[in-house]
Amino acid sequence: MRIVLIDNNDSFTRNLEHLLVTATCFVPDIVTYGEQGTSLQHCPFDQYDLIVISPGPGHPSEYAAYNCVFESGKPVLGVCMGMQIINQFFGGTTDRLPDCVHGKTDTLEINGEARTVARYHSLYLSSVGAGLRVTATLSGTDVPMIVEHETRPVMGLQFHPESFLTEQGEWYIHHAMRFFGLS
Amino acid sequence: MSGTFTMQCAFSVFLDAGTVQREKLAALFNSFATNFDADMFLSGVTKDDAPLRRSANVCVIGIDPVAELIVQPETTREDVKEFCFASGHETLGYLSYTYGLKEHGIPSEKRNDLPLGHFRQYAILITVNISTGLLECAALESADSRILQRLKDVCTTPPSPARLLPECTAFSVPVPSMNRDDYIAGVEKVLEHIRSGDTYQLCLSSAFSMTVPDNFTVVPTKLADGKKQCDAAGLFMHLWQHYPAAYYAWFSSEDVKIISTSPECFLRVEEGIITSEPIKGTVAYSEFSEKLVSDLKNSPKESAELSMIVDLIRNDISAHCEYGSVRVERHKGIFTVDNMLQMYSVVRGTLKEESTCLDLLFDAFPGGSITGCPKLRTMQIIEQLEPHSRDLYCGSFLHIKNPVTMNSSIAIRTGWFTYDLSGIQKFRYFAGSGLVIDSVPEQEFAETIAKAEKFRKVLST
Repeated sequence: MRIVLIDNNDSFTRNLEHLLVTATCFVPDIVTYGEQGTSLQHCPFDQYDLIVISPGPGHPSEYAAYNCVFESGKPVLGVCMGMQIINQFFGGTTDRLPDCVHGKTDTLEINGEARTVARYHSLYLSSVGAGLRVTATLSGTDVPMIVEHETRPVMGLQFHPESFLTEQGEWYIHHAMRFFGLS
Repeated sequence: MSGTFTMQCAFSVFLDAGTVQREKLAALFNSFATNFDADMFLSGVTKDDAPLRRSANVCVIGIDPVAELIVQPETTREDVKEFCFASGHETLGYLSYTYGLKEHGIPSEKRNDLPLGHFRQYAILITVNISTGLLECAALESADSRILQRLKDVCTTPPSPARLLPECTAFSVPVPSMNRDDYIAGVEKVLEHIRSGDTYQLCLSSAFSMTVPDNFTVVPTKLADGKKQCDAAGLFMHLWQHYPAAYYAWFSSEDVKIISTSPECFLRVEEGIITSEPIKGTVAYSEFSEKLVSDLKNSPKESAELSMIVDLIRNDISAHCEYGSVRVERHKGIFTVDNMLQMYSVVRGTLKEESTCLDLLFDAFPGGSITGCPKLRTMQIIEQLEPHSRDLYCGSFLHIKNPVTMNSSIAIRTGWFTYDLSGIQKFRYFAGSGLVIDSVPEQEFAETIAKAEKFRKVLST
């Protein structure tokens, strides 16, 4: 399997790389977004089986070069900013979270099971893009924590499976692979 | 590695060691600095020195440099690797935070006192284990035998302890680069950046500057009546004796005498096993108690501060770690230094076979605990908000043995003697604080002052 990991100039990308290797046994290629995302225009996304979009600073509107990623039709997993970029592409909006959280854990209910995940986010999906379905929310709120596309192999995670604070981080990679039909 | 230049053991001595002998060791090290122009990386913490203190006990002293590399803007990583690894000699030196700015492509027009980095190798290298008292002196064949004999004499008959810092130290009141209002306004700006998602944590620092009094000399001199003036080496040894911390460094770069009293390990590599010990979470106290420890450990704000940096350090070492080898040990450990509790974690990994400790260092530099996270954008914001250059502060002191063995500090609690633009001699030092969404501006300012207090207290009273 060929995996490409797009690094939005973030400081957790290598953690995500190591997690992907642990979960899949495949070493991803890493493409750095840089300032304008020009490297994305030259990346042969159609040759990959899975595209992973890393976390990153700022607002998803700053990352305007992602159309080619979604146009490839390949499975896309977005983490944190990666999920917000997915949402932006499908016409959703992202705004400031009233009580932003960094470096803390929360418990999510996923498929009826309670799971501890690490959160680092100032922003959240204030409206969800067309075709995206929320499959997990922050308990007691409607803040989306996992979104899946209804017809396309696209999934977003608002929390950080690659953090040491998240229990069983590989589970989320396997969860996404199952959704994409890759496992 | 060339075998012809390997060092041979010149002599070894058992010194009196342990806490009670600290002042004797200080007198000996003072002699190395003043009479032999030594560069000294002193650990100087044994488990008796402070409650909860991790022990770190090997000191490394370099005398009579045989090779030197001053890092310039055009110096490449390969140049540094060549210098450190080609001869097979051990290297002492530093890289400045400003070097890190350059490597991350962040332009800075601010004035620096020091070169971007400075490395030396020596004809004579002394190691002292302050727990056992074993002093070992190794020397190149070409080492000056007269220097070696003088060294042997001073080590076998150590100088008697003297007052390292006679009472003449009336430095001026420190002038900060960011006063209380500036710092608090800076914190507010950072909080706004955090709310926008530009950064999750940002370490904001202030520079402090004191005028050096007439009766203090940076280079030691004997007065006509035989009395010693206060000098920079005496100040360094006074601090080492009275304020134990694990990563003291005394280093001269061009004409600048540098005093680093850091408690923080950045990256230690021992035969390819990598350890980093990031510190986050600080509580200043006048009386130690177990309750303070549990309060710190249970503080959601301080825990989050540390956890973020642990994830950042995991990331920063991962580029050169074997897959699956990166792990977090002892999360939220606590130690004490200078009447402050400090919380830390231990992150470990295994160096990839094709990587050297310097590859690891360059890609992880500067240390995440003094930038914040995500590193690139956070460093860009720091560069906008801080009026001063951090220069060497928040860089690292490095002791490089070979491609798989190295030790390094985070150069915090650090200062140096320099001249300002009008030619007045100054002591410049720095202190900062990690800001997160729960930060209270006034408290962060107080934390910065607590960290700066050691230098102020010793010099301005």
